[in-house]
Amino acid sequence: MNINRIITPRRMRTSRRMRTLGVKLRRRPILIRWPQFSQMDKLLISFQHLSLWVPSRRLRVSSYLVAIAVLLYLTNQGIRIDMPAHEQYQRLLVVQKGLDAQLSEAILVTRYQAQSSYDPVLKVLKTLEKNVQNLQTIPDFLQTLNTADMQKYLQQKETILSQVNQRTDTFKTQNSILKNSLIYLPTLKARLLEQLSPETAQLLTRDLDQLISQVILYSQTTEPSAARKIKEAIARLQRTQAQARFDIPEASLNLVIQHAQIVLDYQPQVEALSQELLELSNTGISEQLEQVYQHHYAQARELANLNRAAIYGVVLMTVLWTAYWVIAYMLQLTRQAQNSSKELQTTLQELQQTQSQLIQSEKLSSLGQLVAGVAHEINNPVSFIYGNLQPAEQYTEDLLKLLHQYQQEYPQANENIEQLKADIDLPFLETDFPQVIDSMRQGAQRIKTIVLGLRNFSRLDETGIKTVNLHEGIDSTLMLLKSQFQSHCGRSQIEIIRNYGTLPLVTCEPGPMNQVFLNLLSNAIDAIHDRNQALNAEETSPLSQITITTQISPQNSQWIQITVADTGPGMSDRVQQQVFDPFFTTKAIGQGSGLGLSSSYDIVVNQHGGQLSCHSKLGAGSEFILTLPIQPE
Amino acid sequence: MNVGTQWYTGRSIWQRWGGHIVLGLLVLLSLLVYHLLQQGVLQVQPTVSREINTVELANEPILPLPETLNLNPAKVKLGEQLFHEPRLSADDTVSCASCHNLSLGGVDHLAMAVGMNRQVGAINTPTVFNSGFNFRQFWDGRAATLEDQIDGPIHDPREMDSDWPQILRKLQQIPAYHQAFEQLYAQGITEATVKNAIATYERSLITPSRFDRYLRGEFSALTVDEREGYRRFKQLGCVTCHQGINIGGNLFQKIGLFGDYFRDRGSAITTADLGRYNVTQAERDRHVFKVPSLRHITRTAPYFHDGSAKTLEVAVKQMAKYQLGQELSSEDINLIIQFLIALTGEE
Repeated sequence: MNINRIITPRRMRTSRRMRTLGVKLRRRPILIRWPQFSQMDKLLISFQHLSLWVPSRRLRVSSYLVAIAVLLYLTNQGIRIDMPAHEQYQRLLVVQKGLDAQLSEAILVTRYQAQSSYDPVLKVLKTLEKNVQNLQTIPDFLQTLNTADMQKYLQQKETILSQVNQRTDTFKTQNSILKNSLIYLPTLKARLLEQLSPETAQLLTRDLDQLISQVILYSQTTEPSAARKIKEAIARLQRTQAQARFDIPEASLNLVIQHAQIVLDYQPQVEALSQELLELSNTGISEQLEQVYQHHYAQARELANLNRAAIYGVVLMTVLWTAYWVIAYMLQLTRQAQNSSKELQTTLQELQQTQSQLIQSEKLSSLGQLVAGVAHEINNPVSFIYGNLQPAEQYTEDLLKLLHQYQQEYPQANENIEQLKADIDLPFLETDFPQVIDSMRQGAQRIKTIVLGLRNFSRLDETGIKTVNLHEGIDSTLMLLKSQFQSHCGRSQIEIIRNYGTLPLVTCEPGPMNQVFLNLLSNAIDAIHDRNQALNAEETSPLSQITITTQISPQNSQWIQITVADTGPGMSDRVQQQVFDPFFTTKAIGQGSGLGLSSSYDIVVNQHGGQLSCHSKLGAGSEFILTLPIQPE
Repeated sequence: MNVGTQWYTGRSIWQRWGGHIVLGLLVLLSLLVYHLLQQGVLQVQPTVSREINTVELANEPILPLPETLNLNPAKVKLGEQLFHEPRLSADDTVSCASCHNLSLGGVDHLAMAVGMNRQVGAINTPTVFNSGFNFRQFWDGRAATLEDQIDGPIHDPREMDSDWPQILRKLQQIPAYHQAFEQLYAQGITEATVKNAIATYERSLITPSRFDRYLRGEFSALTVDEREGYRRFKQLGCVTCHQGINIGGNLFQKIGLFGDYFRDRGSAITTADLGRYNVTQAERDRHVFKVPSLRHITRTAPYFHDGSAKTLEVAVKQMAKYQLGQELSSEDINLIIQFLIALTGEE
């Protein structure tokens, strides 16, 4: 793990000291490296060939925007269960059931208790009214669902409540009348009996007691038999009254009968009313309402869960999507890094090549300048020599003629002359001198040819693209190399076979092309010499031959092909692969720069758009094939 | 190859994008947390309170007045002002207190109310005391609440002959009201808030009496005669209608179960005499009235809806005659009146 060190106090001390010494330290940026990086790096590099699609930046940004929008939509649209509202409503429903039961209880109490207050009934009714009112507002989160059934029940509940209100009013009124009579009858009986004489009271007591006991029984049971018995008792009392045997105060007995009649009249009504009220308070609608509500609530929960699941899904998708593109992106980066390192290698190669070319061209240009200068400088004196040889020969012949004339005219010679004649061996001089002149002429002729060759080769005067006869270039190169393939210094003669075909004029840069020929030919010569040196000791030198073939390319008539084949030792495959690499050489250190073939390759392939290939086999010589377009594009 | 260079010079994707990625994840996380809170993932299962407003089902038919009333004192005070405010009437002469004179037992002691321009009303003024405990308002019970009741006298041409826009306009011109309403009600001066203030004041008007102390167990609060009067009150069946906290005021009953009250009265039957029939148009509601409260009864003469009973004695006698069919003995009447006197409380 290579975590850059954060500046430590010791270092700070140093830096301060150094600053006081006038040394300025450049602050190093504190880089934090993620510890996982190196591991992840390795992992990524091992997966670099896995090509995953990397979404564009715009797509990534828009995908997140879409995800956020969807999330917002889902959070807003989905049913949001308002738990307080739900609890509140559920409580209302439970309270509703309780109130229904309380209403029944209150009605029963007022119905059957002798003396009671209507306040509890009213209080329950008031609470019920409020509760039903509250129930009308169904929680908001159910609004999206169809709550028609709930509303139906709620409406029923309201109708029932108003019915209950009406019936309660009537019930209270009638129940009060009934209770009034029920309470008052025993009092009335007691007071009536008090007013009577003991005999009369004794007669009436039984009937009155029976009446009252039947009334009480009837008030509790509403039995028709009790009603019948009350009627019988009333009839008996009326009969007794009609007989008028007793001193009964008529009004009092009538009042008893009236009150009994009231009980008879009102008991069935009150009973029916209280039954109706009990039924109205126990319709089961509250239970149904609760059931329906619970059903809707469950539905809402389901929807909410679905919504939540959708939201989790979107979040998960987003996370996965993020993970995917991060991985894809990192893989891409890894791949790009690998590619760029390859590119770097290529660039390095190109740089090496360029460097070698620079060196070579620098060399060449200085060599060319030197050669051109030398050629130019030599050309003039040689012209003097060559030009003056003719008159010199003439003058010499004239002088010799004059000498012969002297010999004929003055045959006797003095001793000094004879001596000199003998010393210089005049007859030999006479015969040799023309030969000397001739030899000089030949030498000057050769110098002239060489100079021409040099100028041809350097072509300094002809830079740029020209349309030339390549045979001339090859020939002038051969001229330059003549010394190398002629036998001297223990080197054997190399036979040059010019297998020239008919070539059209080729448009190219002649200077660099001659450079290529020079490189190819001198490589061939070196190869043969190397082999010959190695073999020299044991056996006679084998065939030493360089074949130069020129022709129109068999593949394409718009191209020409020049082949330089030698009978050298050939090259191994490994050497062949590297043969065009800059600075690659098989020669001893100091003898070869390793630039010849690489610069040739560059000239042919990069500058002329041609091809340069090498066919070789170890022990069977090498063949370099150069193809060039006749007319470059 | 900028990126590749960075890759190899140590600036990794994390250094370049790490911040963005972490930020993005944080945003997602916060969205998630927000959503979870919204959905109430940590919700507790609803525990429904089984506590229901329990209703006391006491055996005693009459209940004592509450010892404390949970009312806003400031609203009560404002209501008191409004209760005495003649601007509620069209000509600024009649206030609520004109008929419901609080120093006279909350009534006017007239058989029929007298409103604006000395116009005589159709019915006897019921007391405003303890009116908050009545289950409906008016003799015929046509108003469900004290608030609703206010509309009656306001619009009655024989009483105040006014309307709400007029009243509100008048009230708004008085800075004191303006200030008081602004402090107590968010809505300021409106029909509903004026009604609420007046009704709140009216609810505060209760008359706790010795009988209430008796009902709470203080037997000595009543004299022997008064206790006997209460016994007879129950024994004779009076309590079947006059029961509950207000000793009446919680049901309707027909006047004249025995005999014809109106024929015996002699005077012609008025619309007001039809009672609840005017509200329901049901034949059984003819001559049916709200049973009035007996609290503070000694201070609210004359009695009955038509104010025909000038004294309690007459009223008790009449009640016994028409509701019980009995001529009561003077002893009964006397004892019952003794009991009724015990119902008179502090004003």
